[in-house]
Amino acid sequence: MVTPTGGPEADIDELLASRAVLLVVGPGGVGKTTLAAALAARAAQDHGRRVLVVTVDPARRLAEALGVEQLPTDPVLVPLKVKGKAAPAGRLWALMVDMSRSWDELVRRHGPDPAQIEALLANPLYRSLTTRFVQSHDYIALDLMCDLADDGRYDLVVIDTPPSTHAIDILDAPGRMVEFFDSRLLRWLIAPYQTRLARVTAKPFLAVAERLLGQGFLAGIAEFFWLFVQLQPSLVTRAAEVGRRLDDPATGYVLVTTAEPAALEAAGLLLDELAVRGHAPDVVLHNRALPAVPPGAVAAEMVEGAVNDPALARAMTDLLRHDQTLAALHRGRRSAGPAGLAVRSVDWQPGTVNTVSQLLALLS
Amino acid sequence: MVVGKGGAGRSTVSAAVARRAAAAGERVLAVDATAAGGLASALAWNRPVTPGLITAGGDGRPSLLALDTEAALEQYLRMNLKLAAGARVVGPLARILEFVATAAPAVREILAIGKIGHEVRTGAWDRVVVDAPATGHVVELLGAPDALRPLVGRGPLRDDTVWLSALLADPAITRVVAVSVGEELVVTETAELVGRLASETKVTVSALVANRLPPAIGPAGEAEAGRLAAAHDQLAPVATLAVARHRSWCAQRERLAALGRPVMEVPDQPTRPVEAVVDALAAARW
Repeated sequence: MVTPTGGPEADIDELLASRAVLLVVGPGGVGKTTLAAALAARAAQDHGRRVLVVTVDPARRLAEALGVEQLPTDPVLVPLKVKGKAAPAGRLWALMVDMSRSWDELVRRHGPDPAQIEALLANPLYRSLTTRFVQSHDYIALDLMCDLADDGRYDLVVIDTPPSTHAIDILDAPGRMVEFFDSRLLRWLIAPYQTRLARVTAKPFLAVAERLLGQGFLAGIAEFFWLFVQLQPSLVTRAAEVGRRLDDPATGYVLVTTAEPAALEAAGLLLDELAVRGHAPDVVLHNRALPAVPPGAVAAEMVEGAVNDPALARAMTDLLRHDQTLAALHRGRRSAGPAGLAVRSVDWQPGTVNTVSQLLALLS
Repeated sequence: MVVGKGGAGRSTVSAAVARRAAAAGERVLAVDATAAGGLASALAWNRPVTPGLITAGGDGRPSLLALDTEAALEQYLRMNLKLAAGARVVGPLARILEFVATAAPAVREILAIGKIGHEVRTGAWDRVVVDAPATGHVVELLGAPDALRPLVGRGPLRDDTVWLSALLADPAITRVVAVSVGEELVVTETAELVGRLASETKVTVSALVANRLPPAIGPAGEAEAGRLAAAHDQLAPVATLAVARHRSWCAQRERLAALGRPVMEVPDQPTRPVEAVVDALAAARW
C-alpha cells in the first residue's frame, strides 16, 4: 500500500465512532458513492452505530454495492450479515433522495395554508423550476440531512454529495437560498402580484421578457415565484439552521480522490474552497491506491533490468508513475495546512464492489 | 459533440478531432462548452481566451470558442431586440440576464446550444467540434429545445427551439461521440449515458472512444508476470496488478462492444494524450 504522507495516519474509526453527520465530497468518478457506503457499513459493523447512508446520485451503483435491488426512496434496512463474523450490534439503512418528492414535502412543510400549497404544487412550471434554481438539488440534500440527523432513529448520517460541476456548491446552497429571497430579481418577478407602483416599475422588464420568451411563460413563472415567496419566513429560518449544521463540530468531512491527475487537480481546488469556508476534511480517502513499490527511479531501473516482455514492462512502469503522481500531491498539499492532511489509502481492485462484505473489505 | 463522464478525456478527444480535421485543411471551430475550460490547454493554446469570442486558429489549426452563457445571452438580446451596437445592457435587460442565469428553466441551455447551432448555420466552418459538459448536464443541454418548447409561448425563443431540435436530430449534421476509459464504473456510466441520450433527447451516439487503455499483455507477458510474482519480492505486486488491470479491461471491452457502436481504442500515453488520440483516429480512419 502507498504509505500515507503529509500528515498523521488517518483515523477513520475515531470519525465513524464520534460524528453525527459525515459529508463525503470529491470530484466525479473517484468512487465517492461506494466509499460513502463503505464508511457507513463500517460504522454499523464495527462501532455498533445506527447508520443511514444517503445518496442523491440518481444511479443504481449504491444499491448494487449495498445489495438492495433498487435504491429505495424510504430508508431500507441493509442486511449486514457477513460469513464467519458475529452479528453486528449496529444497523445500516440506505436511502435515495427523490428530488420531486422532497420538494413537495418542503413546500408542504413551509407553506402558510393548504390553498397556497396546492396552488404551488399545481403550477405548470413548478417541476421544472424547482429542479433548476438556487442549486436546489444541493439545498434539498442538506435540508434532508438535517431532518435525518435530528430524526432520532440514526446515530450517524452519511451523505454522498450530488454530482455537480463545482462540488463545493453544496456548502453554499443554504446561503444562496437565503439570498434568493432577498434579491431584487425576485421582486421583479412577482411584481404583477404586488402594488400598482411595483407593477409600473417592473413593466419594462416584463415587457422585454415577454417579447423574448413569448406570452404565458413569464406569467407562469411570476405566479410560481409569488406562491413560492409565501414560503419565505419559514424556509429562510430553516436554511439558516441548515447552514449552521455545516459548521457543527459533530459534522465531519471526508474528501475522496484518486491519484489520477485530473482527480488530484479537482481535489486540490476543493481543498482550497473548503479552507475558504473554514472547513478541512477530517480524512482524505485516496481511492484505488496501488501497491507499495520502491522509490520511482530505482523501481523503473528495476523493471528495465528484470522484465523482458515489453508490454508487461510498460504496464508496470505506468503503475509506478501513478504512484509518483500521488506522492506529488502529498508534497504539494502538505504546505496547505499546518496539521497536514490525514490520508487513508483504499487499495485499487479490479471490478465493482457488489456485496456488503466487499464494501467492508475496502476499508479493512 | 464529444460527451462522456468527467475525467474520461472529453477535452483530449475534442482537441484531437479538431486538430486532425484542421490539419487536413478543414475550417474547424473547437467549442469548449464545459465549466472546467480544459480545451484550450488540450489544444496547447498559448494565447489568451476571451469567453464568448472566437479566437482564430489558421495555419492548419482550429479556431477556439469558450462558450459563455452570459455573453451568449447578451448577443441574443441584441439580435432579437435589435439593440444598437453600442447600447449597454442595463435595467430591464440586466434583470433578464440575471433571471436566465438563476431562475428560467432550460433557457440557459438553449442559449448555449443556440450559440453552437448559430455557428453551424453560418457556413463559416466545415466542422464544429464541441467539448460537451459532463454526464447529466449534457442530457439537459441536448434535451433543452424539446423540454422548453411546450413551456414558452409564441416568440423568437420558441422558433429557436424548433430549428435547434431539427439540427440536433439530423445525423447528417450532428454526430455524438461518447468517451470512456477502461474501468468498470466508467463503462457502466457510459452505457447509462448512451441510454439516457437515446431516451431523453433526439441525438444518437454514433461512436465510442475507449481512452487511456493499459498496455495489452500477451500470454508471454502473463507468464513472466507469474514468475515475477513468485520470485521477485519488490516487483511482485506491480506485476500482478499490471496483469489484473489488463484482464479487467478485456472484460470491459466486451461491455463497450455490446453497446453496438464502433469503439476506437486509445492506448494510455500520459506524456502525449492528445497525440495518442490523433494516432488512433488516423489508424481507425475516422
